[in-house]
Amino acid sequence: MLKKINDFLIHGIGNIIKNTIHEVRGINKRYNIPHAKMTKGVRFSLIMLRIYLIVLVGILFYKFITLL
Amino acid sequence: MNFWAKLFYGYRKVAKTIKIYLLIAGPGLIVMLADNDAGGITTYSVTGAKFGYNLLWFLVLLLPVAYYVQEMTVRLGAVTKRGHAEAIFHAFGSFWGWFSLLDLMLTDWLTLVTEFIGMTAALSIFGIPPVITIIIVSIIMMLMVINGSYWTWEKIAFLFCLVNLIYIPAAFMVHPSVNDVLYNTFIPHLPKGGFSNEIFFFLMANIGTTIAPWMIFFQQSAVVDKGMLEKDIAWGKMDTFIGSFFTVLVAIFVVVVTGTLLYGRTGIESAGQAALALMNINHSAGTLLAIGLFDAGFLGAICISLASSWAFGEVFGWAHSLNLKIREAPWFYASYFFALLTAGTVVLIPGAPLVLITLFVQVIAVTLLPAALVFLIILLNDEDVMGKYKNTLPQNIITITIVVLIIILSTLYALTALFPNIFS
Repeated sequence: MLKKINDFLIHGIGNIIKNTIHEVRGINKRYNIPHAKMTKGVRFSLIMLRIYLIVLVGILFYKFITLL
Repeated sequence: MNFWAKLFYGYRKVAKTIKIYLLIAGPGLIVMLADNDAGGITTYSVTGAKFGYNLLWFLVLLLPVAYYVQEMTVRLGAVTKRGHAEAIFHAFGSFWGWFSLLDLMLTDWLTLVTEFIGMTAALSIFGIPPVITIIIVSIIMMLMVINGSYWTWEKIAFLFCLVNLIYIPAAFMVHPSVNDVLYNTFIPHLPKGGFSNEIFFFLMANIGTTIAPWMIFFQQSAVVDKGMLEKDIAWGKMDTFIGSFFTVLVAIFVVVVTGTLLYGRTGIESAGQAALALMNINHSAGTLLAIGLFDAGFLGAICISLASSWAFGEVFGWAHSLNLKIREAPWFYASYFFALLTAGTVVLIPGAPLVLITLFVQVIAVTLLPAALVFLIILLNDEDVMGKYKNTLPQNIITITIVVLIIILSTLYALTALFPNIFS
């Protein structure tokens, strides 16, 4: 009985993970190409956003390290 | 046409306008009043206790800020028929899409925890244990969605929006000086002692509570779920403006209540503490503040949990509408219930780091807010997508200025939360 429950849990969780990976791949494929017009302004905004986020995550990481 | 005929014609016209507005109204009004959530009421209560009426004028400036940002979601939702998460995936690809979706999930869940903290704190003033509060609230929130009708959900939400106006009678109960209130509301000035780090922190906190990432995602998804079309945009904008007006009005009245009776008192760090302190001075006003805090947490919670479920449904392609029954949209409702139950459970864990979570919300929200706002501006300028509804030059000047200011101030706010002595 315990073995059956164990198998069911392992298979069930395995299936959920497998399905999720499959769905995520499908989403990545569907939205592979950005549809926004990539003008200079848009490219500049996206680059600035990336820099902003990298700096912010760096600060968060620093805070986390100094808290430990 | 005689006088009575003209009067009757005018009455019919006004009645028809109100009737149409009530049919279209919803997303703007609800999102704006839910913006005054538990965190918002805490910010306004403490602002009043620390600075009295001195910062009322600043709240008035937040009206255009809230309106111009949220109005863009109405146009984007009505024209593209896509929620904000799906719009980001479609326009900017999966990297920015996943970043926004996962960040939204984390921010919303953490904010949901703070709403439950607010609700339990409010009802514990009346002797109701947190566990009972969380069970009852979760049941009500589940009942609100299971009937499979967006219209019903919206009208129930409207009732809770009405309770949000409870601060208006509360303010009249404490007999504020009307002249002082009017002067401080319309004449910008700083409190005695001039500008300080503390004032700067509170100005940033008030901006931080005015625009939150979940609001952008929620309103756009709600516009789509309600089925608003391009012809409804004017009504949607009006709805958003009325909502912005009421959100600022409520904020002003909260500050008036605490600013009248608690100004100068130390040890007021939350809305719960403010309500308790008020009860000793004016029991009725304190009671209304506590009821209002509960309602604020509840309104925030119903909107925030839906914002995440809509976003996941849009991206994963699940059926995701409040117009569907549970069996028709199982994953949509499962994610809604899951967020509710886990956030509620965290509040009940003895020794859970609730203060740290409250602090963390402000910081995590700042990682998502600039991205969501920048995407909003870019999408609203895409003529191929928006057609005649794209941003005009004056709209761009206003919205870009607002967005840049929000990004700078909310980033400074997050930095101050992380490093309290950074500007001293």
